[in-house]
Amino acid sequence: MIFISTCSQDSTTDIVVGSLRESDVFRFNIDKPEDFSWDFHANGFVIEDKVSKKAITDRTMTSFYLRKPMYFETIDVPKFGCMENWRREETDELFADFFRECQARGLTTLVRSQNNKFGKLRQMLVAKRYFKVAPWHFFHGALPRELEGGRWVVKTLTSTPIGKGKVLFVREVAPKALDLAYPWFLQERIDGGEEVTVVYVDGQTYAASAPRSSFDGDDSRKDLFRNPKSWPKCQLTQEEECAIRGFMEETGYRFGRFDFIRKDGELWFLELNPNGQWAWLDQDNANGLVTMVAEAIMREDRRHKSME
Amino acid sequence: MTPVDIAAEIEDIGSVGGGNVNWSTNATYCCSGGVANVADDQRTWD
Repeated sequence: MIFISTCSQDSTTDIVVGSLRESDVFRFNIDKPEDFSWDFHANGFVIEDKVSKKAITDRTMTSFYLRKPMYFETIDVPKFGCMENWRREETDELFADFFRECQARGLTTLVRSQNNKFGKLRQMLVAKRYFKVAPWHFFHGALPRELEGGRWVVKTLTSTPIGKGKVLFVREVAPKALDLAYPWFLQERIDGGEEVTVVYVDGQTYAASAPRSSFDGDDSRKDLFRNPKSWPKCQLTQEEECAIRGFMEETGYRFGRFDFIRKDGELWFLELNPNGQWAWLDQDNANGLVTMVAEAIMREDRRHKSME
Repeated sequence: MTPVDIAAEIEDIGSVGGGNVNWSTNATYCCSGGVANVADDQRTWD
């Protein structure tokens, strides 16, 4: 049985579960603890879905697929803590440790733990060996000289909320106007071209693209929130496929979603998201993306079962 | 300018989270970045 650690609001989980028919699946929504009971002990574990009465144990679990065990309902945590935050932290830590143990036992599928994470800095350093990379700076306290000219966009390393109702998307900024008391991540703006996103699934790729003129501003997500639509599938050249494989082999990731800009026939690297959203690219599975991911999970699950 | 001066208002990009999940309002729709505490990767397991 495949254990999926996620939350109740992850639509990608909704979609992939529908394509994992060959395998028995247990979905654990960390944000709905009232729906579950669990007991981990010296001789194993049992987790029960109190709604469906389905259970998974150390004897029936064959694979662990990590999606999005997180909470959409944010809470204000007082200086000295509160019960709800305590409950969340204790639960998070248990299931994080469970994931690490499953990884150590070779039971995870596609997504790995963050022990050797490639964050934005490391991604940029690796990417230059495989793709075009626009100049970038992570800086604080003083303005790098290169930023005194040209056009630059601000980006972020994390998705940490800034305040109520505030989110920092990619957008063009004037570097000289920035408050240097804060840490910044700026990259030279790339004009024109098309945005290309590539889902890498254990050696296979699925690419889709959209002209940058089709969305407002520098961040395509903003437009997608307003006007949700899939991007049309596109082809990658042999050289692009080769570069993507090289990047994934060097970082050790087996799954991820790349964002690029393709301009004048070359791919400019933006980022790799090692466990992001991908089902929106083919939500009806018309092009087989959902099947591609589901089959990769089931392939690994069959391998885990054969090793029992 | 501070980060909050540059940030977009969530109202500008549509509602997120809560209630029935659908593709138009679900913050998990496509983002690799964050709205309403959306993780861009498996950071829960850091």
